[in-house]
Amino acid sequence: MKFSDLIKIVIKNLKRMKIRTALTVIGVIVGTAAIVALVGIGTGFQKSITGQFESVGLAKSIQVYPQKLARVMGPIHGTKPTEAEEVPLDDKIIKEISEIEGVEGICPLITLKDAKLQIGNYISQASTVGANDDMLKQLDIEFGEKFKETDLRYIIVGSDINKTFYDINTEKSVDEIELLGQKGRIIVEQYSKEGGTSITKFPVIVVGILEQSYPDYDLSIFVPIEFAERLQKASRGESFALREGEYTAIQVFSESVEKVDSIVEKINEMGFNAMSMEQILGTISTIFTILTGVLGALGAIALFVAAIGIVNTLVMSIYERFREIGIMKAVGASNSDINKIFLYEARAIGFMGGVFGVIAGYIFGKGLNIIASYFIQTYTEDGLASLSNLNLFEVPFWLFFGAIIFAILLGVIAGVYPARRAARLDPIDALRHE
Amino acid sequence: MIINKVISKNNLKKESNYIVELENVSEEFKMGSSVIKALDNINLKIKRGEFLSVIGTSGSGKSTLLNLIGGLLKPTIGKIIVDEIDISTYSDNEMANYRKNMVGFVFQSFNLIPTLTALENVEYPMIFSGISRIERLKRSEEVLEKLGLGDRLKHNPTELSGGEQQRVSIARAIINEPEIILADEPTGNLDSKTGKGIMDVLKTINEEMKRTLIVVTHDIYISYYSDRRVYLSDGKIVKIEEGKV
Repeated sequence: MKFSDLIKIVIKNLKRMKIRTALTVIGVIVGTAAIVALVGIGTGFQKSITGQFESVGLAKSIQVYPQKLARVMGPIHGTKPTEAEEVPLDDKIIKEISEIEGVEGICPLITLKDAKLQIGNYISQASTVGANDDMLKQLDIEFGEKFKETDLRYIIVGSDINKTFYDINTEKSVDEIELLGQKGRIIVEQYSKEGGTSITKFPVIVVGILEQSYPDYDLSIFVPIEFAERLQKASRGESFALREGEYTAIQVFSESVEKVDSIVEKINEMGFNAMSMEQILGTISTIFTILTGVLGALGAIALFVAAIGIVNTLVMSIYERFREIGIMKAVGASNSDINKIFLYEARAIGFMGGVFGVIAGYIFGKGLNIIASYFIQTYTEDGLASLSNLNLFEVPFWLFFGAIIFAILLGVIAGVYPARRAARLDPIDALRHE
Repeated sequence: MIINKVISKNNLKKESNYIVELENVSEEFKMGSSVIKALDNINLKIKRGEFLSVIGTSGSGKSTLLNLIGGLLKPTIGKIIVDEIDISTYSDNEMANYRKNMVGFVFQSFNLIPTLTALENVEYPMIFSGISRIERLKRSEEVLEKLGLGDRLKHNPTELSGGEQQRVSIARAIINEPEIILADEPTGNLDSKTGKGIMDVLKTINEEMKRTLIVVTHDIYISYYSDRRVYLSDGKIVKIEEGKV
């Protein structure tokens, strides 16, 4: 039987039971759309979140913590438990680490989340980060200039900082304010044990604005490292201060992404706990992959149900076509001819459902994306403004074709039983029917 | 392969007088716990180009005999030799090929596919031979026109009279140029006048196309068209009559 004839017969047969075919196809469309939409959302989410971190800068940085602190913070993978001896992170260690092959720079990690920057009547609660010369090397200035490590009161701000201010009096957020060259104050509150609050204000001048890179830097205020230490002391009070020269954490910058792993290993050997963005990304990726897999499985369940629908439709059509199958056999159609016809009817349903399902899933996902973006824009603080361009939905090539192929395959499998049944009918019995 | 054995065109075969030989053929069915003998030890030789009638009442086994010769059924016991090949040993595929190329069926209730036009019904068997569409349509048109249905090509069976439907059925039966034409009560659903017309058509095909024609009927008068009459009763041959009436 020629292929063109086979297809014509199949199309004719499917047209004969238009409504039934349509309903069965819809079942496959829903299943396929579910897979595409769910997996697409999972993939999109994963890409957008890891994408935020993937810019090379952060991929080259490693956070190092002393062992004890690591355990306080909870289990972190890669930790090798050491015994009693707890090695402090001090300048000596910093020197040692800086000599590890591949290390480009080191900066102690000093971040203040509750220090406020006030300029005129506007206040920003963006994080303040201490930067030494090594750290400054990692930053790119767009306007103004970088400070030197030794300049106490000069500060640099990230590219999006000017969107984070709100008016002191009205408490309404303001859109961009002039920052370059502005004088202001960094305000630190300290809660003492007795229950009182003391406020310290440090005058500062904004000397530079960074290029846009990634949210972590874009939304940070950078101050010279010694100034940061002083701010930290002021906010925590004497009881929290570490011994002079000791750090709670340091940031190590690798020359390249490739060298990160070996640096992490060596630091771990020294008895500390090194975490690279890469590792964290890896964990996040794995979690997302599992999540996406689960979502995909859910969609697959829907598709499986649709496949049962295909089987049902075809089996029913066999009952109605008993006599016709008898006639086919009488005029000389072989068992395999009849088998083929029913098999291809199942395939055709799978194919149509797959193609339209992928399209439907794509439209649905994109729609969801638009709605989500709208909500994020309207209802969240401006600090998240950069997220409004999020692409939460992504359909990679493999998903597109994979879903269609999966639907067709399901059609193929669904058709096996009905096709065999039809082919095996006894022609005389079949002709007697109806 | 098998196809070559089954398609007997004149240039291939040594001439044997008999196209069909049934040797000790019996057919048994199981109905619940009992066994029914539809045919009991049938021995029959059918000549090439012969017009044979098989006459009997309902339950005599005449349709079973037809189905056996037509390759729709395999005998429980015995051999059926068609064109020197024992088709009782055929596989399912070989049987299908046999039905496609060696025999053509005409049924009492026409058995046309209602969703296809007359033309499409006639071209149907050729689809399974892989013949091109253009060729199929050409041949089908020719045959239908010869049978006087040239202006009914695009009609569905429901739009045709009984006689016209049966003629379409006959056209379909001969489209692959089979050696044997098998007709099971071809006039059963027709009035006597139309019935006669159909028998005339079949007779013409038998004489002009030189095809063996086996007609099963319970109507004695229909059987008078044929050269020879075989009478069946309770699955056995009770009488064979030669000569025209």
